[in-house]
Amino acid sequence: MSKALSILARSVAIFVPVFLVATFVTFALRALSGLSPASLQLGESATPEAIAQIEQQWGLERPFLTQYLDWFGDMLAGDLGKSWYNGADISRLLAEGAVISLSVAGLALVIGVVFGFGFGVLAALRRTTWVDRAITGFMTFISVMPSFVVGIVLVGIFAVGLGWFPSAGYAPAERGIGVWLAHITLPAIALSFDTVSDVARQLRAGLVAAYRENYVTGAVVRGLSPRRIFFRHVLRNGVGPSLAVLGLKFPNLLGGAVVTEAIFGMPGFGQFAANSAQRGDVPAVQGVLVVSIVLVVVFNLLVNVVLARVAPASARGV
Amino acid sequence: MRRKALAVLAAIALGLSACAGQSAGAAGESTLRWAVTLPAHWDPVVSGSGAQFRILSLAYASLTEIDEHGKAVPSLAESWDYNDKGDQVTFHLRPGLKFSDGEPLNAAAVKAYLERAKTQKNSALDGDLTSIKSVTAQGDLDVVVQLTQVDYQIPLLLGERVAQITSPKAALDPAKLDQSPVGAGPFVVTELVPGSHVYLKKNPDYWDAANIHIDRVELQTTPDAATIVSGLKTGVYDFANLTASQVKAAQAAGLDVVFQPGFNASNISINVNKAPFTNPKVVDAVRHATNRQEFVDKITFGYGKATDQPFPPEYLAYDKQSADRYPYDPAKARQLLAEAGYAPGQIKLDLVIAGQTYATASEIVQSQLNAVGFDITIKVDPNWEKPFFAKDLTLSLYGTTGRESPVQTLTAHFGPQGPLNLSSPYQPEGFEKAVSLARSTPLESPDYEANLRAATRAGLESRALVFTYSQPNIFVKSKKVSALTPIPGQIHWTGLKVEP
Repeated sequence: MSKALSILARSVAIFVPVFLVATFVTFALRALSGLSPASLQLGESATPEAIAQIEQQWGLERPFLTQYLDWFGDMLAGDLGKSWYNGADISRLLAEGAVISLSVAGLALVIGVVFGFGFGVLAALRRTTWVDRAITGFMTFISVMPSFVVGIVLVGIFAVGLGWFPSAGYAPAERGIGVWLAHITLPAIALSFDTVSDVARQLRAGLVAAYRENYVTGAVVRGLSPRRIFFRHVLRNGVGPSLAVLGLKFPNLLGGAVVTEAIFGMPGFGQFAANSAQRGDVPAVQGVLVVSIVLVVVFNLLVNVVLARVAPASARGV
Repeated sequence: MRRKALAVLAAIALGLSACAGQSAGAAGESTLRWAVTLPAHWDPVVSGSGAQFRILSLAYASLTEIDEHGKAVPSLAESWDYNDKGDQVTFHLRPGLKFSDGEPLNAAAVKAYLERAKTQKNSALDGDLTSIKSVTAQGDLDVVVQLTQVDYQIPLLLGERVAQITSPKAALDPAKLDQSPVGAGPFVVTELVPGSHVYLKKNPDYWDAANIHIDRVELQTTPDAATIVSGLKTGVYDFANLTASQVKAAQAAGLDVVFQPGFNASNISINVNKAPFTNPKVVDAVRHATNRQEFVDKITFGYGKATDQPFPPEYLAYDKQSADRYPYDPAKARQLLAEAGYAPGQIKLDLVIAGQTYATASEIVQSQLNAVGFDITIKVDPNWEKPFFAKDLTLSLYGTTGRESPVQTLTAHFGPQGPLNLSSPYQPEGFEKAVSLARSTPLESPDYEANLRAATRAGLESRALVFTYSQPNIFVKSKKVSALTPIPGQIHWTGLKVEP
């Protein structure tokens, strides 16, 4: 337990400077981009006077560091400011979008873990047989399928063809778990392919390598049951790389959501990020980046802790 | 282990299939699910383009409406009359109107709205209201509008785009109103999450509530163009805005594709105050280099029409006499450039555009102009509004969703203050007089059409705009939704039915 704590403390020590630098760069984006809320708000009434007035109203004429410190202070208090595009509270918009994205990414992660581990273990147990070859081939195939193509194909088959799932939209869980799951299943499957294949391949490689180790041979010689050998010796030592991959996958799932959410018309985090960036809604993009930084770091923390418990050797190098 | 997981998933999938397509509304309620780009602003004073006012018309009622022939008809105002001189118009409101927050919708509320639209700092409408000198409330029901000039266009002007009346109490906090609309429209907003969804329910206090047959409206963000059709086919949406590229797919899927008439027209904007367009021959070269049919084919997939005016060809104000004054003639364009003293490739210009919307159009313009000897570079500027409305650009592209008043469309394009006139304060000679005549001709007068067309003709003398194509507003709906009334530029909810 204390080991986990010390890992946590070390990770937090890394996190703070990363967070400071990342937010500073994020905030500097506005100054670098030269974007202005006036373009978004004024439309056909964008006279030079009106533009100057709007920029003053947003406090953009103040010194850069003053603006950054104000923004940073507000951010720590959970206030990410207001959108240039529609004047809405960005923290609220992000929270609304994040629920949707986390639903989809979470389910995609579950699918990725279940099937990734399933296929990986099966391939490792039947290594070098046709089962292993078929799984490896299939994993390679799905790893190169972009999620938007998979999404459109899934809609074609399961929504339009079979009518099993709605083809688009999102329903919150308050409307019923079944309805909620129905809406997020297809996008989650589309999003999960990459995770399934990467986890499966890493796990297979890790397990196969572990089976070749002397301690496994020793265990076999001592007459331990295959089940015990697998869980005690092989899985524990071979799972590291696939867990590390999983840690990298979560940000990927959120990033991939940009495309799947567009295909499925889900107003999630990814859509919000993409739309805000296209519109030049700088405070919204800054908000997205802050939340992304936090999510990525927290998820990596989690994986580090899990990894340290499952495979203690991994903690040595941190 | 894997087998168990598979079994669990299969069970979930089977369980889900029962829920698919289930609606959120209660049984027997008729719900319209509209996939649409949600408006950023819900205060009509702040909201900008004509396309957004169509959505806002769910929550707000306007002083007048437009009928199928583009004429002004009663809405909140039961009737109106002009004084003899034509510089004052009195609107008579329906009695007993009220906003969804319970406030009375009376003459004072209309006066407050119009004054706010004229004076609020972020108003997108102030430029449209320059004809209005003052507004007074006479009793509870009569709104007297004093004009700065004789102007018979006011009932058209104070339609959906300019006079969607807001509750004066809610307008005390304009920032809040912009996020949560309070009007007297056919529907009341019950839930609004910006960028995500908006739910509305029928407003029993709407003046024409008897003819509103829909109980609930759900606005949802549009999915990618590629999946809109499957969304409608599987019943996730009933109604959606459609891009021209998806028309065939929608028709093949057995959905109703509606070509709603509109005022839309796109243009090439030129600044005649900047070289090389200070030379009229260079402007003429652009005019003759423009092949409109290419825009129609490649952008509208054949569903639009070529136009050389700010109106579609079937519109009242379209001047047939001026049609095709500068036919596509690249040889002549080349010759004009030579006469102006420019060798091929010598005129290097940036075509500055706002973004994605004009991407294809800009490439067409670039290739057509380069073919006659220009050297055009496309520049995308995310801050495009800044230089465009400051009239700093030399060459750009723009379009309009139109205005209900044709005179206003003309002044917006050709007038010295016109937002769409990149060359302002330049205006063609004789335009001011012709517009003034059109403005002061009563809409019922037999001369109206002729005077209006004469104003269009005078405006087309402007060298600041080369019009390219117009496109109807394209919608797609499922068979559950009854036919839309073909009203130009607007959607009316009156009479529309959706099977529950």
